[in-house]
Amino acid sequence: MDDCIDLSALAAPEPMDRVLDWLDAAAPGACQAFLLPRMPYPLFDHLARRPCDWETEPQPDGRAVVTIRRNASHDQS
Amino acid sequence: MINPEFSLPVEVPLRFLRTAPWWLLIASVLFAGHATEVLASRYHPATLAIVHLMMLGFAGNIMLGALLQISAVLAGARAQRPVLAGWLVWGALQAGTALLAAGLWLMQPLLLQAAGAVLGVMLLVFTGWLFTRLWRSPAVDASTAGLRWSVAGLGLTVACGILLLLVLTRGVALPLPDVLRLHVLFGSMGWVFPLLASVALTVVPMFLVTPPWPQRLARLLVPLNALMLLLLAVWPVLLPLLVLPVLLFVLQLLCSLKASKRGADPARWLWAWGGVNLLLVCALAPWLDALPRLNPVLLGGQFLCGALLPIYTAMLGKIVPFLLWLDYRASVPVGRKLRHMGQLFPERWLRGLGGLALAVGLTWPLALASIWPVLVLLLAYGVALLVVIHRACRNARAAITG
Repeated sequence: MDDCIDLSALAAPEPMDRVLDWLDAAAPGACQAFLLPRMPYPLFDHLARRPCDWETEPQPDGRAVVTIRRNASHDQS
Repeated sequence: MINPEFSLPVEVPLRFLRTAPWWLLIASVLFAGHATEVLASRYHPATLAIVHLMMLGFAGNIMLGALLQISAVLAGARAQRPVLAGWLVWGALQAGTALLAAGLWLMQPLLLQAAGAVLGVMLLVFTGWLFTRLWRSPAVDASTAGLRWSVAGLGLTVACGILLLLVLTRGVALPLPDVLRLHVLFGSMGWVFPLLASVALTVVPMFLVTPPWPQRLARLLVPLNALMLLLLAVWPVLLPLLVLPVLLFVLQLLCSLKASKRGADPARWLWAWGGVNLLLVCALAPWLDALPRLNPVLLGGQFLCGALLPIYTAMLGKIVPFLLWLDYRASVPVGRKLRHMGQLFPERWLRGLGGLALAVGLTWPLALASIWPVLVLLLAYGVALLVVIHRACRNARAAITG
């Protein structure tokens, strides 16, 4: 996995757009962590429609790290 | 893995937000025809009708639309059948507002009782349901906690409103001035202020790139306000203390806005202008009886025109394009043509709307000298709001279909 990409200083909806752009272009098996300004609840619906798994880790300051792994198929585990 | 369905169908909150300007236009036209009576007394039937058209029809639609959306996003609180539930709440709110305004205007008991039944049943069921969902939500953020208090405040406001209608139409033996005082207190400081504060905790950092609010203040602000309200309900003499939570909120809001990384965003000065007016009105309101020169209608109007209008403008200028953008991104997952949400709702629209909201707030205090400048500006604002929301929705539809 590459280093965590810090998107926490961007105004909504840019962090979500950047995450989805990365995911749509990622090769199967690619994994990336993003530091987001808050728990990105609206993002989860979009992730659920894409072939990926993700984990979230809330930070003490209200930000959240979301780690996304692109799957090979549209079957989400 | 967290994988809930957080989003609400976009049409549910948008229906409320698109309806709100119509009520503002209706209220403004009626105000134009009866300005002298309205400005002369806060208890005149026309004044009561227009206040409820503004606060239920205009403000109520915006706040319920925002509440539904933010409760779904932050706390996962959404109905099993959100579209049907959204239609029911929306329909009852519009019918109840029309019945109440007509009943107050004509002082017609049957209309007032019908309004009480429609609004009472709908809003009490709605607040009971939403309060339970928010209470059971696993979300632990300060905004969600604030929303719970705000929903409870809405329920208390409605309950006091129904008691007032029972006093007026059925002669129920309750002290009218006390129930009226509680209705106004819970409506402004139990429902509107906690909702604005809770929304600000989320949307100001989210859209204006400010540091998060200090944790302790964010957690304590709305409960402190609720405690103050309870004390005031028992000891009205403490009313001047009500300014304290508002002062804390506005000071922190101004600090946050100063640190915003989006210095040119018009939402920044709209929040600031609205916050300062909110503080001014809350500081003056307790002295209405002591200062005869303080006109209660002017002060109430400043609450709406000076405080709420710019804050609602700032909220709508971000929430509407954000909702449409989420819907667009979900509808066009690949090969999208739009690059940013400014293509749906350009920032210059918000600047124009904000300029009108600012002008309304500045001209309202001069209403006793001449009502026409503020009326023309209110009508222009209502039309502009209607047009920009319609055009933003049309842009989104065109982007999705073509």
